[in-house]
Amino acid sequence: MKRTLTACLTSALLLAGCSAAPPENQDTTSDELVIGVVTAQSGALAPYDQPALRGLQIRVDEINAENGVDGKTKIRLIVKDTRSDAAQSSIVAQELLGEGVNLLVTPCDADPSIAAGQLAQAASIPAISLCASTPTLPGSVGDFMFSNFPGDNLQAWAAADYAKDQGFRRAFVLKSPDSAYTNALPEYFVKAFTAMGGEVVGQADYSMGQQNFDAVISRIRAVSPPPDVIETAAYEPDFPAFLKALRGAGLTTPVIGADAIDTPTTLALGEIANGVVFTTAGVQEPGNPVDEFEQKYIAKYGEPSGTVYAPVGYDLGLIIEAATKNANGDLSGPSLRDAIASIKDLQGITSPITYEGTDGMPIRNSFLVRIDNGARVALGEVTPDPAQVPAP
Amino acid sequence: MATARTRMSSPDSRLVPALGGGALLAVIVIVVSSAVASASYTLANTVTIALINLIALMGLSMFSGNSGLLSFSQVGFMGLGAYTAGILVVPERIRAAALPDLPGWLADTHAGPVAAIVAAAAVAAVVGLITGLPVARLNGAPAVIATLSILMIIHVVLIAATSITRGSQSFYGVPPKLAPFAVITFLAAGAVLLARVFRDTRLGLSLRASRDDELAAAAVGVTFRVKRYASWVLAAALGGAAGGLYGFFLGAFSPRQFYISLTLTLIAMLVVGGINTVSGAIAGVIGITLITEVLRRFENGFSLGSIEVPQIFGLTDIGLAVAILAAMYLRPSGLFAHFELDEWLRRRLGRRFSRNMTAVSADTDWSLFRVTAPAVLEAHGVEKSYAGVRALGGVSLQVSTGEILGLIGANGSGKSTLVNALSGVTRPDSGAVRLDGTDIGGLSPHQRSRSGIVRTFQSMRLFTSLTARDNVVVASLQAGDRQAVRQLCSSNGLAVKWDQLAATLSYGDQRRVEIARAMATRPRLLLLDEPAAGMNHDETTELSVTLRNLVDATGIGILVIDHDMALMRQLCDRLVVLDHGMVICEGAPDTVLADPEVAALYLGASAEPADQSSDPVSDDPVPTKGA
Repeated sequence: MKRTLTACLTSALLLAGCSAAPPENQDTTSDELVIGVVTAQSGALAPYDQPALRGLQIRVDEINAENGVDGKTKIRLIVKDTRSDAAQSSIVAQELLGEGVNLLVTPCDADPSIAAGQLAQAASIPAISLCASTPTLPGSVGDFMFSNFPGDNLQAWAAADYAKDQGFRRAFVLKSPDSAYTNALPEYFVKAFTAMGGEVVGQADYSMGQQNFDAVISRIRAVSPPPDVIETAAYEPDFPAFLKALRGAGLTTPVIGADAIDTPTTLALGEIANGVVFTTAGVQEPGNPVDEFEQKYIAKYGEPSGTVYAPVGYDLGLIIEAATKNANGDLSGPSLRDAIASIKDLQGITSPITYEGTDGMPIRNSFLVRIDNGARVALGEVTPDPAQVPAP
Repeated sequence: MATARTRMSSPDSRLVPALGGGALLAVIVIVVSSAVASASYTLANTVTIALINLIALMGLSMFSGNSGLLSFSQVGFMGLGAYTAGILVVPERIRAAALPDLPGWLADTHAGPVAAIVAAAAVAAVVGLITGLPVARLNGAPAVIATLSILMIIHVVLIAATSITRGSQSFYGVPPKLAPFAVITFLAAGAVLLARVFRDTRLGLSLRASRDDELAAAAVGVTFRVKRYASWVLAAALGGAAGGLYGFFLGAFSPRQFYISLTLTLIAMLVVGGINTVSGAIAGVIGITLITEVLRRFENGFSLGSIEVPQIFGLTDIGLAVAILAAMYLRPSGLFAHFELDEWLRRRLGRRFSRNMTAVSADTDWSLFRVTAPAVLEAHGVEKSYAGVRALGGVSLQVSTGEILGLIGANGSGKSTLVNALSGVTRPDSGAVRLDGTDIGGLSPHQRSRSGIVRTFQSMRLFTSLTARDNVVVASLQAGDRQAVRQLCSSNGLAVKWDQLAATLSYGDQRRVEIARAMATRPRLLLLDEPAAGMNHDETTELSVTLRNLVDATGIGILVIDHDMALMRQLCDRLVVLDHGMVICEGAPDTVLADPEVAALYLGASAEPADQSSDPVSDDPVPTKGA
């Protein structure tokens, strides 16, 4: 007995002496919710993370201006830049968890989100990606991982649903194995479209960053009779290059894209972009909540956000606010996790948001947008039917 | 002094300074990283990544630092290592979900972290064995481009092997904290020691000599293809191990983490610190990590007295770019350009070490270089044309051990072409080159060097980024005789600042090093192409005495080309005169130089616009000077 006690004491001393051990989480019932934000504020992922973080910041400022959630729990953001670097994402995630944050916000990209999420999972702290759309993300990490965007499978299903409604029967699919997004989203489309009775008459691969799409165009030309529609998740600079090559070759086949082309560059393509339809997570229309948000954004940052990731970031602020309310003052990791997982039909500014019954990938509406003379024209809102959406 | 002598005679004692230097660097790595890491938990993570980068860089340094070829492939090997180790350690449950299509044999293979890192190094080494084949054969820019395409191939394979790697989707599920900080620190220290010692081994030294001058290296019997191949495979293995550790640290990754961005980071570290040295790579890791860490703390904005500086996202990248530009502008060869930290310290601390080594003997004991078997090198009817211009039109001559044969003739008369043909640098169109009656026309320069025919070059071709001593050491490697180096680098006759870079020596010293380097190969026949070019009168006289003593003491044979007729008259036993690729006169110097045809020809040839190939200082076509 005495020996056991000595052993316990020794190991306790050893543990205490180990300076490389992370500090324990502090008092979790305080009146402040500390959020560690792991985001890329520079580098390749910055165009997604930066507007999303600004959107989140706007909601957090509003909450704090009202003395916090329910007038008592203020929110403090600790923002650390990953510079779009994988190792840096792991480093800053460990730093933030070491500082005892209540919640971790991770980048829009699946890789760093999984890396940071695994660390948060081990520390029993919930993690939410700002806007990652990879539907396998929460499942790869565990029950403390969430995201905040319609999954690629939801968007692909919405695109297929739209194609079917337009009477398109024969689809050509363009994908790139270079990223999960450009590869998986078109694959989900194939599943959903064929399940609806459509036919995929051809597929072509491209390399991200490739300049010349002649080979792809010949593949499309070779399909006889010609496809009714072309579906792709390509984005800049590939999407404009592809579209120019396609229209330059005299092909007028309708094109359906995905949210990553919802950028000012696409709108600025001029006449060739006319008629391009894409799926996205929200749409700005005069007087709607997204429009109101854009006014706040301009007031704070002096320019329009130009992307859907900013209002989606604002939605994340609403999700955190709702979770804090649900947690009833217990801001410990498991309590917050349960609070997020029980959110149902939360009115976000882009769409209703539901986590209840999901594995952490929210049920959100997808929006169909058509580009018309450099402007977005909202075609409609699609509420996914869980029975039909392809499994991640 | 007695201990020094014993040390020098053991074959591996040459590596003692390198081992000491490596140990010093390893200790620095251990001390610095433990000190920083123990300061705070968050810094420990940064140091961990720096150490993993350091391991990969040590591999890169072994290849690029010695061969001089920048490699873009290292991060590819890291990727292979990360996936290999990652697959082996991912727990069964996650593996079934994440990698359902894993091939059967792989699906049942699990390993602990140590075995996984070993496997990572092994897989990378095997891929190194394959990819090294083209890299070992190519030179210069094509070799560098080849390394870039190897990176691209590995990247594409990682993406395409979806059932094993999940393709472009995140690979995840590596359990956290598999590699403790202490283990990574000691692996990094081991890698540093390995790379530092490798630099001074026969492999490293030969590679560095070939990097400076491939032709001159071959002329002293040094080849590099196989050695470069070996360094490539070693680099790949270290890259694989580093990649495995990197994967353990990340926990989740995809192929694009092992592509251009990380490659540029590693190369920036290597270039800022100095590509040629191990110390430089360490300094680069420390410097770049330090800048990144300091700057990223200011990114969120800070206050300078009363001035509030707002958030500057991207400050780190700006800072890095400025640091690299500044380093390149101020020190284009990096912080440690040519000397390792230990070498630099040794030079600073009164050169005690090197003085011991040179003080062993005051006079060169040339008897060590005595030729045991006589040799006759013979050109028989050698013809050679370049683009229709006949450089040699059937030249026959002989040079034997124990004699000094002079070869004279106007510029463009074919003297250097003949030496090239004798030494194997060019193949004659027809005719034969024989050594002791055996045709050696098929032998390459390094093979001829090994059979005792060693040449120097008209434009001196020292290994400029090696010390004078290392120039001689490299040449001695083939003969395997350490005594030779000690004798050559200490004599009165060859009083040279042996610890300086060859490039920084005076002209006369460079010429002396050149002869010492040739002698270190234990030659039987020396072919000297204008050894007195650029020397003043006193230096020429000294050279003449040295060469004569050399022949008398060792019995080697010398074929010498020079334009200084006074030197040639004094030095040579026989003279051969070449004109437009033909032998026009041969015999004792006084007889040949008195020949009116030779004199007329020489004056006539010099009256014409001579070609510009020879050193202008050395041209002294009037055969009467000082006679």
